[in-house]
Amino acid sequence: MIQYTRHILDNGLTLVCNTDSSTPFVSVNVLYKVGARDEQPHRTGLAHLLEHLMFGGSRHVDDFDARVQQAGGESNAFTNNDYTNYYIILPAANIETALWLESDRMLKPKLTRHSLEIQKHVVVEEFKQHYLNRPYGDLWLQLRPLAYKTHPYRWNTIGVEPAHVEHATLDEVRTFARAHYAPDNAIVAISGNVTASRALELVKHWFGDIPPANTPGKKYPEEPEQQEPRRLESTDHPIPVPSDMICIAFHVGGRVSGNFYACDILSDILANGESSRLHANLVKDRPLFSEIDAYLTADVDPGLFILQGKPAKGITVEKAEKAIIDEIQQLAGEGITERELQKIRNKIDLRLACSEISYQSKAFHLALFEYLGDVDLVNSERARYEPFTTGDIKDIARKIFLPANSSTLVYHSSPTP
Amino acid sequence: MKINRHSPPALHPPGTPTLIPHRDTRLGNGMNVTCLHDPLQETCKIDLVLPHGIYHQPRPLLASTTINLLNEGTGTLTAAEIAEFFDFHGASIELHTGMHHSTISILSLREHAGKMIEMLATMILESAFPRREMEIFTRNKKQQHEDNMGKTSYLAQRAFSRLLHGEQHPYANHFTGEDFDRVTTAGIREFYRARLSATATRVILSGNVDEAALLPVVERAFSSLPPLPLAPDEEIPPSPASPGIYRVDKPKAVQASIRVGKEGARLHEEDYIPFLLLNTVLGGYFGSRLMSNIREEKGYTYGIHSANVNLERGAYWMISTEVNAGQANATVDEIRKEITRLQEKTIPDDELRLVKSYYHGEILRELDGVYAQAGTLRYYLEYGLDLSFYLRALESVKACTPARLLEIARERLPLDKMIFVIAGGEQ
Repeated sequence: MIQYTRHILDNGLTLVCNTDSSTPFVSVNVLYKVGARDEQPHRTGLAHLLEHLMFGGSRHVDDFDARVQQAGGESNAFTNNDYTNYYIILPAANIETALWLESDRMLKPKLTRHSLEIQKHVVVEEFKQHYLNRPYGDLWLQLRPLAYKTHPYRWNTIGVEPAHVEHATLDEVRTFARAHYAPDNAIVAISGNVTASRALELVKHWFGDIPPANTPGKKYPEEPEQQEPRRLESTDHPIPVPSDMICIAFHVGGRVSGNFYACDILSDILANGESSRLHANLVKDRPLFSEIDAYLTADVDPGLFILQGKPAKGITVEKAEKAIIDEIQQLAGEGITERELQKIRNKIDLRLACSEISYQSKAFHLALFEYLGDVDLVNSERARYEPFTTGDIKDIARKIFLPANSSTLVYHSSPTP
Repeated sequence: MKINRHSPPALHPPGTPTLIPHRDTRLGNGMNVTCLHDPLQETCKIDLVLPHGIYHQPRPLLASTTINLLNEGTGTLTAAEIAEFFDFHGASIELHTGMHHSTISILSLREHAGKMIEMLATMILESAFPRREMEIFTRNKKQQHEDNMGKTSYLAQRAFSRLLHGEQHPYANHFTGEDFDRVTTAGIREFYRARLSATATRVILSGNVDEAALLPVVERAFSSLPPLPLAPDEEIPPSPASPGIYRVDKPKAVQASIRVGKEGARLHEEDYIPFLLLNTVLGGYFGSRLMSNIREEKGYTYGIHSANVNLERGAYWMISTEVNAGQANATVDEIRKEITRLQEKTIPDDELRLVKSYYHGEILRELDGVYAQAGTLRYYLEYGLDLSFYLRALESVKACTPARLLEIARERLPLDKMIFVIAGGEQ
């Protein structure tokens, strides 16, 4: 059970705090409710580019990182389609340094032409390192526009292509920051060796006078229901691809929908652990795949259920793909056993017990669940998995694993040179 | 109250780490058991450290294949039954093959810890190494290897290890695609049995550990592990290639992977901690000189790092980065400049103070919580040390002067002794 306190400041900033006196550290986690889904289709990658620029100092801070390091701390951030998350972990005695730094860059980040030029290069190298210079790196660049036609999830956080980042202007970056980096669009979550009253006092002190942006509420275009199967055969790769790969995406519910939790159970049944169905049946029993996985994108808006695997050498794409389809059809037709369901519940218990271990994880999850609309999920999420029976799981499988709900991407291996 | 944002809040120096006491027990057959208990945890972790490493394998890939087959079947249980056992209890199992030791780690809710220990013992004492499971494993690993050969980072790392240690040296861990086809179950069994030794095996129980209940379980479960004496590992001298630049061709790569390095500092050496501090200045943290120059000023890369890797019978030091293909040579020039700067000018006091604070914080983070301490303790126990090593390290960090670091930079980082590997990029 994670104890926490929650306050909303007059300027709209939400603070959630958990005291953990078992660690000498504290994590100050700041989540901005802005991600790649808030970008314009012609200028993607902006939210992530801005995340890089936020480390370039602010009105009263010359060198952000140096200040963190002097305090014995470390800091990082990540951006996804739904939000941008920053954290500083440092010895608890220096918590005020973290709040000074975070409040100052919320108030007035230094967004200069010079740092924009440099960070564009850095982000383009990041783009290459993760998406272009490794086999299958461009998977999500291809899969998203196949699975989404309307919703901004059709592009990646890194951007549609390097040119989107390269052509971003200082004005665009500044406008984006002004609209989204403000107390009424942020959550500060703190976990570690600090009392709730002290945390509140300090957060009020450092953040209390930052004006809200009052940016109007956001609406994202809804993805229309998919009507027929989609398929992309990929043969032209940025660099050679040694093995074939099959990836099938199905539309599912958003992160806090009941559908999500049922699908989470379903993905565990398919691919969590070596006794899971896909591993046991398609890697070990009939060795058709060299590796296989099933997972959810866990997006705030309706996301994707992904089945992904590489056929073993000598196995054709047709045969391997049919084996996956047979597995999910069997699941949808015959359902799962009580023992399988119990096994997944046991796995979820361990996962949740582990997420309570570290103060960093607690600070992040408090911020995330607050963003998702119910901070108490940090304690009550276990119960969300409870109501599903084996029959419910079968029904969900039947509803989701439909050809008309699927987008299939096949990588055909490059001929060996 | 009006806020003064101009003056930063006062800084407090990081404290000293609180070490969780560990208890060591030697069982009747000579097996070592170490316990670290934290009553706040709901979980218990079991690490079994075996004396089987890459250093001891007579053929490539034998050690990792052996270790990875330990959960693939025993005399009485199939691979599927073992997998079902762990999964049904919600437990996770990880198998890691190291240079001198291998580790099997199991994490479970504390109430299942006893059962986990019993299953672990069954896997260790009755492992069957079934041929079919071995063939599936090696075939899949071979395919993964072939996929990896498409990455400049993998190509650079392989070449670097081979050049630095010598192709035949165990630390190079060199293998080819064909080596996967040459692993046999007979070879695995022979290798496994020859080093199965209670006296050279350790179990570490950490998290919520009911020692009174679990020690007898360990004692009973592992009682038939033989107390076989093993000779200490001999030191095999490396046979590095001549220093200089080596290129690995990778057409069409949009980034080049660069590895730079040489022999490193060893744990028992007097300048070990000062060298780690020096390495931090150069490439060991986000604000390092290499990051500031090559990422934050030039924008050639997403990241560049350096690290010292201490092994039981040697050590190496390495810089690694992935850079824009057109700027590989320029990056190498900048790396040279930064190393030379460390050898010509003492590190300014401000910078050294900052790095010391960061490094101090880093040590505290490495020791934060029972699982972090169990993990680092496992490492130091192999050197006959324990976590008090860190208390001495903190003293050593405090005492380190810019003059001493300049000296170490000259001794430890001569450019004419370094191997440079560039995979992909301009020729």
